[in-house]
Amino acid sequence: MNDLNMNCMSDALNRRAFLKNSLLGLGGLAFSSMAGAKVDPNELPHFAAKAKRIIYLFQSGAPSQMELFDYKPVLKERFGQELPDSVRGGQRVTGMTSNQRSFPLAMGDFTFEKYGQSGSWVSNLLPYHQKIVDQLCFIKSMHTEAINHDPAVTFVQTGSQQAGRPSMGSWMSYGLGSANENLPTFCVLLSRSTDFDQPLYAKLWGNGFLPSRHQGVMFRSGHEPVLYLQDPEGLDRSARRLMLDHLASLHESQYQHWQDPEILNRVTQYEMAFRMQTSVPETLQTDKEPEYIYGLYGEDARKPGTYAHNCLLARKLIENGVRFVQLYHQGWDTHGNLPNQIKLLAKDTDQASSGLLQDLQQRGLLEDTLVIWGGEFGRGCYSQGKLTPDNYGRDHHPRCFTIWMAGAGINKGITIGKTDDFSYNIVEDPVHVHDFQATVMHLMGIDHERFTFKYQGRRFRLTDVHGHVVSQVLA
Amino acid sequence: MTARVQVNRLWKICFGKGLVATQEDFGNQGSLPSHPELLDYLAIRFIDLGWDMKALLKEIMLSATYRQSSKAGKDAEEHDPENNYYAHYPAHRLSAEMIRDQALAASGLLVRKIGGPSVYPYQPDGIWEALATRNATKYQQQSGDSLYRRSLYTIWKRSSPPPAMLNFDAPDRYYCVVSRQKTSTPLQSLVLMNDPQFIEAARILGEQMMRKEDLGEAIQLAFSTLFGRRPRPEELDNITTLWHSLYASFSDEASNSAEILQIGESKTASDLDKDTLTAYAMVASTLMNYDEFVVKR
Repeated sequence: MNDLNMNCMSDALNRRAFLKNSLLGLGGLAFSSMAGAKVDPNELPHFAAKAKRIIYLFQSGAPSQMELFDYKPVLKERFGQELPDSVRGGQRVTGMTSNQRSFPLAMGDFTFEKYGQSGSWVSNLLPYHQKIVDQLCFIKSMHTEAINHDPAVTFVQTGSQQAGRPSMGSWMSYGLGSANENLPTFCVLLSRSTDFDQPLYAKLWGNGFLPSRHQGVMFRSGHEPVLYLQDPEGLDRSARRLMLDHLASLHESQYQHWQDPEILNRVTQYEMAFRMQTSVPETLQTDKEPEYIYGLYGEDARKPGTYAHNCLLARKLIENGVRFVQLYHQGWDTHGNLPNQIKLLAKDTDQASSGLLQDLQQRGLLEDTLVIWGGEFGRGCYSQGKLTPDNYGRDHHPRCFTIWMAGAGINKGITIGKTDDFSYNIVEDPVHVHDFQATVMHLMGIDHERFTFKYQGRRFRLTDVHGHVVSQVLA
Repeated sequence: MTARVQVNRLWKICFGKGLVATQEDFGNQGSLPSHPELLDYLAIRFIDLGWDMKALLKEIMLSATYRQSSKAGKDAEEHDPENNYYAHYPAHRLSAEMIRDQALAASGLLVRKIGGPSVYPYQPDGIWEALATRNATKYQQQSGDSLYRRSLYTIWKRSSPPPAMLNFDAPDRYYCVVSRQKTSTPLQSLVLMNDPQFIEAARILGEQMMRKEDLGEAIQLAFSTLFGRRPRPEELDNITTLWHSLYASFSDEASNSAEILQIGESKTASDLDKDTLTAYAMVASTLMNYDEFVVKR
């Protein structure tokens, strides 16, 4: 009976193997990436990586491209006039303004100039960015499919608007592994600033269907930067060491008894946990930073929890071998009172973003660190709500937005893509979110089409079935 | 089909893997059953038992296969490295919920009440607050029985799930996850070492150990409640030495170790010597970090 069973099984297996093989035979190479062998992360990188680490300065809430980088004099010239129908072309507008009868063009009292040898446009809101434009690669033609924060941020970070897929950092951790033994591979830093902060969600750094060790570890300000890091009050380090030594010899005896290598693995993990207990707080200590650092990042960098402080921490983390730092500023959702709010937001982020870049460069880290600055979508060129001579708001706008990239493997001092005179539609070189993701992976030495994880019967990738590497970005 | 799928899931609860390895997929992308006749037998048994899960679980658990040791035979590695034929019990890590529930159950803290609204047990400060800016922004930790209910009843906020559970591969509940990942990480070690829930459980167990005749019996008690077995001689030696060293360290005048006893809401009897109790509590805590506490063998 057993034999018979075995035969049935092996027959069925042969049939499957046969079908699979003939598919490969018929479809040739085209099929090999779909039906092909299991992805072995050990095969990564697929080719020489330009970047070893990423710092992603996520500007959550969606910064307005028109006040910062995407200079559109028409908006000021035609202040208060209606957005021409020819531009909108009957497209639906997003939720909070869809009931407006009027779409008056708006622009505050901001001035633009070309900076650097590259002659990149930057507004007077970002004096520190003006100094680093020759390091940056602007993409002014980013576009996305989502119109609301939660799905849009989820889309940028996980490749899907629906929650539950692994985050970009988790994919990197899964594919490229850890570069250090004492810190998590993928770290998350949150900066809260103002009353108009957008909420964030743990899923944005979630491991999705990947093993949980690839989840982003959220660092917190305060005495316990990583959860459960602190020994219980009253237990000193020597007692902890004693407990772990005894635990290790228990595990040794357990291994002798069961011969299961997983047991030895546990010993290693406890040693790592013990080391993390000291290495994490040490890495995050900023009080020994020299004074000039605060000149670079700004005085805010002295205050834990600020964007500037987090930029400094990001540098310290990657310096110590963290592969992916996801840093958030949460305040960019300027539906109303934009001209005033954006000044505060620019002040919050301008100097620190620029300072981080310079600091990395001075330390020689920029050569193999990729820095990304950007939000989840753009903002509309017409006013949301009532337009007054000196005040207006802007609703969400998924059709174009601006991001920049800098550092490892990046074509410096260039601008990719162009929007129309109203920063409404893209007229040149559109870059979809999946293209951006494909490019980031490329820089890390990963072919986004070959990097998959099989789950629920199909192979998933960060870029789903889309995405083209944007070659202009690459140096 | 329904019975087969369900039986396969119950089998997985017992053995850590299904008879059909892809328990979420019985279609043509899924794996074939390793024991098709057994799967059918159990499916029919399940129907005959009136779809009674408890009865079927009992039957599986009383089987010789389930009751085997997980110690692999000498030639297992050569003939059946994947243990497809169940020549020994397939050791596997327990789920997030089982690990916490086990700590509660072993210490006697577990409240076995069934049903009711979600509860808010221990959670590090500021987890909800860090992310949420509107709606339920504040985590209101409850007290009393709510701290000790089965993990099934722990409140689940999808944008900010309980971190200790996530570390042990509880899914974030955005997708339907049938087969969880089973990882083993330093973050898990940190939870078992430092989460107040586990420190408190260790203290309560330590108190019971302290009320035993002597140290030997105390260690016996810990092993039988935590692992369901007696300690091996070298384990007994190890823990005995650990207790003495810890006690020596804690009874030092400079030590403020008694503060450990303040962790958790439940009270400790006041008649017990603090340093002695702390040593027992930390012995219990060490054992809650031992392989067999999280791995079923």
